[in-house]
Amino acid sequence: MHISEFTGKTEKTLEYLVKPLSVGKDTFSEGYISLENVYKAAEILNGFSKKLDEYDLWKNYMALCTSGVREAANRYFFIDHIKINTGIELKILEPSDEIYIKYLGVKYAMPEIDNYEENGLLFTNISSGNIFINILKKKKLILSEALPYGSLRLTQIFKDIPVQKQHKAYEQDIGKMVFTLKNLLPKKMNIKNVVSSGSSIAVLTDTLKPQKDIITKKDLVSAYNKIKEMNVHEIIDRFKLRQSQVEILIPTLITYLKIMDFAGVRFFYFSRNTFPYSMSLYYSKTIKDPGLYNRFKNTLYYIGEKYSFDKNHAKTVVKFALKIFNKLKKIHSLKWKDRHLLESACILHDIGYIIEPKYHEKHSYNIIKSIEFPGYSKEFIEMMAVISFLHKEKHDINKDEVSVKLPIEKRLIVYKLSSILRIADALDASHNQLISDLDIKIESNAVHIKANAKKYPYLEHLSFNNKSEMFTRTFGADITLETNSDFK
Amino acid sequence: MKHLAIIDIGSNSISLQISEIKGKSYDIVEDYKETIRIGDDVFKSGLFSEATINSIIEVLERMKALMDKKEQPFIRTVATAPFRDASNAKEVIDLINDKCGINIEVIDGLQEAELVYLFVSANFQMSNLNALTLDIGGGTTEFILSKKGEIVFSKSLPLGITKLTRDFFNNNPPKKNEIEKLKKYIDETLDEMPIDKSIDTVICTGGTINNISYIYNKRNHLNDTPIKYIKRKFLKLMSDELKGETFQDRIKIEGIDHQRLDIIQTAAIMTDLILDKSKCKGFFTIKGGLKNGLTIDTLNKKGIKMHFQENVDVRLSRILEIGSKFSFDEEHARQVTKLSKILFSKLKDFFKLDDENWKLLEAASMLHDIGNYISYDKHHKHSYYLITNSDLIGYDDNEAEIVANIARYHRKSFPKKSHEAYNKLSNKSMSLVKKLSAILRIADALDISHKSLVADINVNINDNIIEIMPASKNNLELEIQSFNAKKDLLESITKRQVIIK
Repeated sequence: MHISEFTGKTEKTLEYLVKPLSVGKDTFSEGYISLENVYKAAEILNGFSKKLDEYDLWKNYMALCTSGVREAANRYFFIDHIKINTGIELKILEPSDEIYIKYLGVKYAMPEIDNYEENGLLFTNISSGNIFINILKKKKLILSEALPYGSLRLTQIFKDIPVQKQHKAYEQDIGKMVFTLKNLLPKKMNIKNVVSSGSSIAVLTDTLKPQKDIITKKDLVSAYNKIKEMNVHEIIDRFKLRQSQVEILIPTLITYLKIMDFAGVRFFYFSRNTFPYSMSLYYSKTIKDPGLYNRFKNTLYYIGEKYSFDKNHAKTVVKFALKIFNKLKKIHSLKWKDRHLLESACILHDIGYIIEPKYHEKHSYNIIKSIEFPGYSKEFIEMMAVISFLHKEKHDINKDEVSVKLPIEKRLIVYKLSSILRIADALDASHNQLISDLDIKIESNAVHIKANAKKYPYLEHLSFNNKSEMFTRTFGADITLETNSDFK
Repeated sequence: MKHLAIIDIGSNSISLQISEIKGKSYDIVEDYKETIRIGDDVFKSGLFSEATINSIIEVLERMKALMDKKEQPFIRTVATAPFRDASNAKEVIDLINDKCGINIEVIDGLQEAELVYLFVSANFQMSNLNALTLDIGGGTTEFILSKKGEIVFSKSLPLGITKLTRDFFNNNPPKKNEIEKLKKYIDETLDEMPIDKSIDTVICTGGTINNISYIYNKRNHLNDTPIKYIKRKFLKLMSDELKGETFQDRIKIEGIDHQRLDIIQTAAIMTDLILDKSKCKGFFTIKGGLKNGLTIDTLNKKGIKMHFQENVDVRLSRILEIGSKFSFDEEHARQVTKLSKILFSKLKDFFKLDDENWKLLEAASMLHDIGNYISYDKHHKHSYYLITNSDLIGYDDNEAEIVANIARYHRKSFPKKSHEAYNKLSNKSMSLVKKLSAILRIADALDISHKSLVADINVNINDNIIEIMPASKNNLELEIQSFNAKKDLLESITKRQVIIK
């Protein structure tokens, strides 16, 4: 538990309380939290609830659970039990939100990360249940995965293997994880920096006692070689660790060594920021992430390239769609966020082509839905997928199978934006950039587009006629296309 | 050459297909079609009218715009019946060359049929079949008879459906005696053909017959796949439905192509008469026969052979193609398939499986990880999606669903009726999915390191225990670990303890 006081943008930590309880131990081995631990958790949280009374924070707190609860079969029972017995309302944090908050927390403490993001950065958060890995380069998110290889989880998986052999099992298992990562990354990807955080850091720093916020491979290797040969009691005596820390020490060391090998670095930076501290910063809106929008956009183009999209077409559709959006502001009354949504959908509307051209809009929808991007909500991604789905004129709005899943107010936004996407897509129907620019005029009940074309754009006209109906039906305005006639 | 564009100018439509060449296979990146019945003129008056010529040029201009966006694609344009028959064909070809810079190659009926056959053999294991391949066009219909993969007879007959419709139907709707006369004519013409009961497979291509299969699939809530199987009964049903209806009234038929309202009846009647002479209770339709045949033919001429032309097994070649498309780890896929096969043979009798079931597990073993292409997280679900949306050869819709389901259950979750894709399977298919995914999980576990460490497996089954004994020269720590995590499904369905030795 972390209690902060904010004066302006300055945070002051009033209290930080830790009560060890390995809820994950049950979850990772049995799949549910044992009743005993449910009671223990309630007891601890009951203690915390007194603090909420003391500081009068009942209207101003956030209580979140991660993998230990998220993956437990009886998570709803657990949450309900806590609510009834302590009054605290727990929320389950999705993995992509979890890593986002953790990442922002570290970034706040370590502003140099901005540079690392440009040159190649592996950000990792190694906690008890999961290893989160974000790989960024040139302000793009190349990879973001939550891998089920957290240290506590590993100890639970391998608990039946004789102690002397366990480190070998860990080595192989983490080796498998690194192998998976290698397969997911583009070839010849150069990672220059590694930044780490998470509950594993405390174990490492207690063991290695580094002077600065850097740990070198050399120190890790020598510690690992020594510890491998020691028994639990020797480790406790030598490093002054708690029993629960010793249990996860070996898998933690191996994980770091393997990740460093994978990234090809000789040292890594770490942040001592705890998760509750990052949460305070995040939910109090102390941390800003001004690079988010660009990072997302760059990443979408990167995803497009992975699926061999037609980049020129995507860029042209973005250009036309945003121009129409800006001109029609009075008519559509949408917000900046919706403009961003439109742009995102335009970039990826055709990526389903890779599976098959005929139903590519359905495939685009499904591929986009699988995107997870820390900092963007599931709903945003879903809407983006639906807009892309609707770009094909054969889908009748209100009748299609995908948009009806959205709440009505979101549906309206989706219809407006996909009407615009359809027009923009039609204006580059040949994917050949025959139309280079638009001039848009709005009259009482009609929108006129005058297009500047290199050659007569047959296909664009044909497609425009097919695709403009939705626009008319959504906005109640006719839309016409005229092209200049002075062709060579 | 990176891109190849094929334009097919037929009686009822002009279509363009652009492919990206990928080693020994190709991906269709553009599929564009305009239904324009240029044959009508020619069958009526013997030449192309001014208006028709202009429409052709307009369509070709639009197609050029689509082709121009690719870097110097190789373009091949072929024309069929109308250009063979029209008296002003040569002038039109010159004019088009002049105006659009497109050079049209006119091919005769038999060439057309052979090209279609080429594509058919990429999609059917012809060496097992006595097949009649039909290209049902507007002006002519091409017949190719093949036995065990060898063409034994081919002929082009003037049984084009637009032509027949025009020659026999003067009333709308056609009168009973007109239909009878048409049937008699077709029957007599077919009599010269060596179509008999030895034919076990009929494969049709052409826009109108494909429209019939599209309607069929719509009615039966089947996916719109490039290859479909239609029961013969449906042709009778279709003919009956169409009988009293005017062409205009037929619009209400769901899925019908509005440009083919008049000729669809002729296609149904003719196909039914052909099936009558064979022993087939149904037929396959295949889409884009000519265009894909041309694509393959053009590539062959450039010295590029397709997977199916080098491998005897087209089914397996397609699986490899799909795997490569989604960048699978081929070595791991092959190793898992090898282990699955060993386990399948050892557990076959115990599970009461047929040899036939192996192909389901084989495809699932090869493709179980392709979902990684979309993302590692939930990749089993993505594998399901990619498999159901890829065109496997030699698997019908239900079998493809089973394959995808087996792949979907290769990780943690058990098959559950609450999963929609599983729940829609029949009980028999569900039972197959359970058994085969239980095997796949073990096979995948035994190559968890992706290092092909296991050389062979022995299996012992008794009343309480199944012993799995992998043979390896290496340390299998990780494999054993993974085995213990993934044996649960096998234990649950066999009600026996599963141990590794």
